[in-house]
Amino acid sequence: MAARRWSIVIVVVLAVWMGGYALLSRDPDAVAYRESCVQSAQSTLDGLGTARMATDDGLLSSYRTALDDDAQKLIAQARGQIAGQVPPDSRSAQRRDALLPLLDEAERAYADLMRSQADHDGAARQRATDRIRTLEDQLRDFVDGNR
Amino acid sequence: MKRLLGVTLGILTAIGGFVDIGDIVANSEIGARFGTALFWVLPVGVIGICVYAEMCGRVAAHAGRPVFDLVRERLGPRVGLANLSGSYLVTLMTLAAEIGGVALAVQLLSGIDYVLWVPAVAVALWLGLWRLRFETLERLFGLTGLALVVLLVALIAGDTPWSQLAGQALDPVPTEGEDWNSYWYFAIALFASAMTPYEVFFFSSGGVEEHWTRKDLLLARANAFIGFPLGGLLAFGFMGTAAVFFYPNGISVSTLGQAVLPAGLVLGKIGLACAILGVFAATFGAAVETGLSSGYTVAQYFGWGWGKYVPPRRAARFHTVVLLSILASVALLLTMIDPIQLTEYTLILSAVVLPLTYLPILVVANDRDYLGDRVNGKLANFFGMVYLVVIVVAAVAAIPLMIVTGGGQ
Repeated sequence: MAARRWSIVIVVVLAVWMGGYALLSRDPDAVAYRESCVQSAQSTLDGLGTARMATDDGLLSSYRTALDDDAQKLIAQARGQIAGQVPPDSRSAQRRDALLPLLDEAERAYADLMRSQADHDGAARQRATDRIRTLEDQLRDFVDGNR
Repeated sequence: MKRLLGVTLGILTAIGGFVDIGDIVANSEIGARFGTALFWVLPVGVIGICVYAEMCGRVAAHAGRPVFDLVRERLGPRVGLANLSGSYLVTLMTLAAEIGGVALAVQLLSGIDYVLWVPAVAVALWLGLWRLRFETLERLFGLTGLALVVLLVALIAGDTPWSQLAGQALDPVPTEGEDWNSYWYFAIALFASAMTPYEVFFFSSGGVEEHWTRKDLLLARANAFIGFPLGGLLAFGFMGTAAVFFYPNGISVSTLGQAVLPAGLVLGKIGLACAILGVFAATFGAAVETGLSSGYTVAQYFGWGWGKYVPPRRAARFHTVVLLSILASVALLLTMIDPIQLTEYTLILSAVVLPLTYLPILVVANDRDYLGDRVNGKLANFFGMVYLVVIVVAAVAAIPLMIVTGGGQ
């Protein structure tokens, strides 16, 4: 009787383990890939928007440093959300092709903004801020169009 | 005059003491994603905590014993153990989240990563709990927490579209891009942030610490019915400012730095400094409350000496539990879990264990052996039962919604 119970327990544990392994190791389906792309775009939007608002001169410098770190992490984790994932179909590949240039541009714009602040270059800061506003609109359109 | 001052001070303390990292995170996230469409949850949660905190205060004032102590006696050790298990786990996670919140607030002022501040905050917390008087702790951080009023000032002083905010609040449906699953998920999180278990245990045990008697019932009720709602107003400051600054831009709030940013944008460095100071005080005060609550619940279940009003040598096990709880919280934070993410998980877990906390309170508050003729009246029982139903529904729905929405993603 005890041996039979233990056999059932072992079978159940093995089934759950193998099911979990199959679930985690499979390629993401199209819905999951779309969600990853949307989360990636949203994360970039959050980071850029926060960095743009943090350029306000009325903020404490230590606080601005912490906020810029937060923004950098958000932008960095955006790429990590889709890195290494293979688009499961052609529609997903199109989605990736639309998103990746926005992520590249976001990283460049963020770096330019940080450099302009470090150099105390008001004109460069304004240009970077304007670029970021345009990017925010594009990212919002991407998020809204792919929910 | 002295009595009026005591009541006023108690109310002010309750206002500042109501807000903690869960309220800050939940209100900011919701304001950024839903505007004020979930505003209705705030008064619902505040009324709920008022109803049950009043019961706990009444029990403490009449029976001279905290409610958790009576739960075990009245309902038996098994029910008491179920209550203890659920509430202690949630309290421990909340303690970790609060310590993390304090460290994040210090990071915003110092520019130094919050992880390095976690051990320092834990030491300061333990020293404060060990050496400072209960009243001193409560009033210092409760009153300093009033600095969070700066967010309401930012709303009033800024270019706030009040008609738009009112329109969203009066149209309580998911906003564009959100669905009903995420709407109710965040509604439960916000509700749980207003009714976290440690609040009632601390309120009840605190009443015994302050030697409340029947004469202090007015004070207890004033703290609950005036202090908590005004504290809810402070919490709304986060929701409102996020709705004005982040929601129109489609930006989500996921960091403490973002939550206080509106104060800086409207009021400059002074406003920002006040907001960060308020967050520091609110979260440190909540860390004090959760630290003490962790000790209260365990000591009261096992019948050990407890409290700050007894000499430490007579409550050695109580202080040991508090110390171990702080150490466990630090260990959890040093796994590099994001304190904001930890807060979100804690809120949902809190929602699941709410029935274990509040049902026994309702039972004890109706027991004439403890309260004589001061048991719940019809009104208290009506609201108590209504909220118990709401709590059970929230508890049942919390985990499925967390799975379906991917944790609110």
